[in-house]
Amino acid sequence: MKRALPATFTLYALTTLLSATPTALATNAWASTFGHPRGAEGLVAGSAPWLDVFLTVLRGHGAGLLIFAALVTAFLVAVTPTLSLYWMRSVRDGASLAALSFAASRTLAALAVYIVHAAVVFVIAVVGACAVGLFRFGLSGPDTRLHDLVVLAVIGFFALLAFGSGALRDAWLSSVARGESTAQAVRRGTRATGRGTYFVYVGYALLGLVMLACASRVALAIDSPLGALLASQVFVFLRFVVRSRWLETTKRRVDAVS
Amino acid sequence: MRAAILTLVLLCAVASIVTTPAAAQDHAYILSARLDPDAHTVKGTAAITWTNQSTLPQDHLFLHLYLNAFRDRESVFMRESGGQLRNVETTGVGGIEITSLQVDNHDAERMTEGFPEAREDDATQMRVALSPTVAPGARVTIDVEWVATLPPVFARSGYHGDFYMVGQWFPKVARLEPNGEWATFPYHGHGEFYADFATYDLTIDVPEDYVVGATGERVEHAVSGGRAVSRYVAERVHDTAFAAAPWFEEQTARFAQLGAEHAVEVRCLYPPGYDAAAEVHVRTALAGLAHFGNLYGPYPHPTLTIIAPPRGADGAAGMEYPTLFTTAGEWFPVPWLHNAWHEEVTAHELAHQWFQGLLASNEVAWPMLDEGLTSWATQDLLRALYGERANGGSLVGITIDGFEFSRLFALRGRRTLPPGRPANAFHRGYGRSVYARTTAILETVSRTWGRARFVRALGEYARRHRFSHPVPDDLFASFDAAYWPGFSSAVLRPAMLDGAIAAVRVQRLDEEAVVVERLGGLPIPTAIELHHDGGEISRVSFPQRDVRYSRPVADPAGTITGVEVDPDHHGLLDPDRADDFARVGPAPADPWFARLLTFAQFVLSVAGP
Repeated sequence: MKRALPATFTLYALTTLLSATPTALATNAWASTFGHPRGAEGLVAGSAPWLDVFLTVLRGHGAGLLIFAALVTAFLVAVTPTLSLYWMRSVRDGASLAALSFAASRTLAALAVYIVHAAVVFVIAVVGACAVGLFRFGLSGPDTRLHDLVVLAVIGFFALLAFGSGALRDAWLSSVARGESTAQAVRRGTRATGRGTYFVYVGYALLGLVMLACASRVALAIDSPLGALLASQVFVFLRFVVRSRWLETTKRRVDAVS
Repeated sequence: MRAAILTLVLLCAVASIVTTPAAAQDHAYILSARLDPDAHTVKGTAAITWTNQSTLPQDHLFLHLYLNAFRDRESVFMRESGGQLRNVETTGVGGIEITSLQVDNHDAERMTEGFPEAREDDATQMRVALSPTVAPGARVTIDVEWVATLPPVFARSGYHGDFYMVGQWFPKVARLEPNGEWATFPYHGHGEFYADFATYDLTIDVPEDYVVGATGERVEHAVSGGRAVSRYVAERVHDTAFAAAPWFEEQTARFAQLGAEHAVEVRCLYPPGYDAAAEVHVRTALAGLAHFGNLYGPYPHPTLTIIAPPRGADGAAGMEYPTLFTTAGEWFPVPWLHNAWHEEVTAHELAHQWFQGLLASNEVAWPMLDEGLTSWATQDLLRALYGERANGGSLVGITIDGFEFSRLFALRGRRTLPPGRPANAFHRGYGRSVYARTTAILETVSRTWGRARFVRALGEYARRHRFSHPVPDDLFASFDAAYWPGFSSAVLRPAMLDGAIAAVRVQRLDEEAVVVERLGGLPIPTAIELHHDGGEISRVSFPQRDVRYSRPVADPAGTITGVEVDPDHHGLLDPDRADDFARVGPAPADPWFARLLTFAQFVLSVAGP
């Protein structure tokens, strides 16, 4: 994990930079509209102005902010296969320019992995939708709680399946980081991913989400601007550390496949 | 001279005997209803005792046959509502067919002319000849038989599967005003209630596996021949309704209040799986009975029945009848959102037990006395339950002021009529005006001059006029007594009847001066908060008589760099709060960049590596 720490921090810094840009635009729009932070204070106190403030900012700057945020997200999505491969390679050989160069040269393979994973998720979603439809129409009567819980359980199962398929994607990507072709990577990665791996992946992913939730919560709880920023960013960085730890686990499993 | 005075006194005495209104129990309905679930019909009979409580003899009376609003798309209701209510579309037809009508044991003549707001294609009113004429104080008995065909549930009447909500199902006599004029009207898209208080004795006959909830106290129950027959009696109410379903489950509670005539049996009927929601409904009802009872006088009836309709029967949801109401909400309560579904709807329909059930104003003529007062009382109850400015909801430290929702709903966007207009004057914006704007007006008064005085005024109105038919002047008189003579003329009348607002804004703040101005016509006093560059914050009052406040920014306490009007948010009649504050110079740092940043990071972490 230590070897990948610089890469982990680099990726944290990059996403933070990307996140900070629309955030700064939004807060500037807020301030330029009113020149007064009262709306933000109102949000915490539950008192009057925040709805008005929010609606007015949205009316004046909403479209521009939305487009910018969409562009930032699209950019990040576009470079994610390369960045993920860089991260995975850094977990294997340590963070270096060589790792970045390797990731750049194997971008197509990484992209292929993401496309295959998207196809897997799509198939799970289609099968899940069919199952939900079957249960939905198979249950009738006034007890809507029973109906809803069964449908929710079916949706939850397939959602978990789709979510957990990220374990496969990471294993495939780890194989690509070994220098294998996409086909070889899919074969090796799939063999490296047992049933238990899904649960470990889900555990790590949920832990990461908990870190992000904690970041939001402490930012809300702390009134000092600097204090809120520092405390929340510690949790956001921990989310990246958790993911780095998972990637190392994946590397070991993939390497263990003969 | 003495003889003349004596004669005058005698004449006055005779006149007073003639004009004294008869007691409420002079009206009585003995009703029977037999539900046929296969045909979705209710076969009914009624023996109605009606007393002429006016000062004029009557040669006719009016019956309301409101279920005929659903007979076709041409009724007044359908035309005004566009065939939908609260986004629930009508999907079928229903109506009342009278099979027998007698007055004092003689077949009665149904008159075809003389209807107020007459429409040929609306059959929701019937004019019946009275022969001989009924003198003031005299009474007649009207015997009616009919078949009510229930529509797929719409506008609170009908069926959904084997669930039945049976409202507006029987012929009801319109209200005769003391001056001899009939207050009759077709079933409008908005507003339906205005009737005399009466004794309702209702016998309901359903298949034996059906569970029934009805207006009044159940006094008899018998099962035989595959049918269950129950008798419900309610005193001093002005309508009756019932619900039935074979799968109803039940939660009950008992409520006793000091000063009340008797305890109240609270009964909630709900679909299977709705236990948690029913607990919320019952809990809210119990709290509401105490809260409203304290403020507006004890709930006077021995029973209160809450009906939770099943999913798909949204047309039956959220409706008040005396001693019974339908609520709304899914099987799962949403504990952080009070201003929707369970608590809000139950609180609202319960409040109607006072503002409509006991204070039976004309809902079509003065909907603000009905829905308007009820809406404020609803938010007031939620505030008592969930805290100051948290009545709308509360999630992860963010609280929502439900009254602010009323302000935004009422004053943002397209203009609406003032709330003091008749219900049928509204083609759109009925909810925004009558519900939300009335709430905003009343809460502005409450916050500006204190809640204690406000509830004293409203409580006085509610207690003084219970079991009667108040008009806006009665409400205004109670407020004038609690505040000062002329208060209503200065504040309530312009706000409710003319649509006046009370907007205040910072017109200017620069290196020289701060200027605040009043834009609306209502004289509402407010405060102005001044922020000085040394960090000190001071307050000045902006009296109701002034329309403009200005001062130089140079001040002994430090240069004024920020200003906020109405910092405690008392005024809810200001359409735009965003112009209530201004600052010069850089804004002080605040933690919202960090807060929003974590949100953006959350999103991008999911989308990114």
